[in-house]
Amino acid sequence: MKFFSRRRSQIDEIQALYHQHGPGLLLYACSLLGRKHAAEDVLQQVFMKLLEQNVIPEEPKPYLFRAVQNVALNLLRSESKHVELADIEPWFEAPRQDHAARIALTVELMRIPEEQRQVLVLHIWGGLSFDEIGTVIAVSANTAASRYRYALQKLRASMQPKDPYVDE
Amino acid sequence: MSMNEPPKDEAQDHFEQHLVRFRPVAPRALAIPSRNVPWGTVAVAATVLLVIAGLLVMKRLRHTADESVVARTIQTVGPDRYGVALPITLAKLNAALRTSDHDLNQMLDQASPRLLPREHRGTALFELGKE
Repeated sequence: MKFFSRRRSQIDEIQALYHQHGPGLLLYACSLLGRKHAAEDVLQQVFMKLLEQNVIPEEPKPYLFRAVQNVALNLLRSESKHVELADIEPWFEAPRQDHAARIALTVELMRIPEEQRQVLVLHIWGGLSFDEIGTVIAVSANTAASRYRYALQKLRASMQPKDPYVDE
Repeated sequence: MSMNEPPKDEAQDHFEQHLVRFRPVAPRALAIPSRNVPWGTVAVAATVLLVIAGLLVMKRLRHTADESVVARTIQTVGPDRYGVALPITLAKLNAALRTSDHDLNQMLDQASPRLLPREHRGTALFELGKE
């Protein structure tokens, strides 16, 4: 009985992690793979493995993003395909149902160099600090911060017509 | 803000906030195998198994009892327990008496030991019976 209750609490904890970080992790996988279906599969795979191992990592957030990254990159390598944005399923919920802005963001996001896109997604939507990003993508925190700055500039420039703050 | 946070201008800050308003969609539900132990199902299955086991045991006991009754009956009335003597009739004895004493004695010798139970054979009673 004790085993069952401990197992149940771990499952609850893993489910809570999924609810808390799922959207950010999914977007990160989408940004790496370019396809939401594949990204969903990656996410399921990572959490199924976590359930099998039945061990909650000490710092779950960086661990989960790194795990998603590893599985996604392995998938890309096995498929030997370039990332193409051929997804019709939305990655974002746009504010005020602005679907044009949502599509524009998705397209422009995928135009940013991958290493910069990773940092941008991890920081803005994953909620990771630059230190945590450094551990996920194996670079220093300064490098991560620098990549973030470049990514943001590029995205602002490419989304200028849609960005109401650029002209200010 | 940590030490590594880049210095932000106002426009960048606004742009970041603009991006944050795009919320990533939630993934599909995690396909976790059923976490609750179905105790009801387990109890029903256990009961069914117990009933089946009980029926099997009862059937086996009944079968054994039947076998022992049959065996006892065979032991009690069967020819193994009491050897059946050769059929001797009065007519046969008279006929033998008329022909010769030897024939009569031989007939009685053949018949009399088998009138005793098998377990008595080889005993003093058996030997006396042969006299």
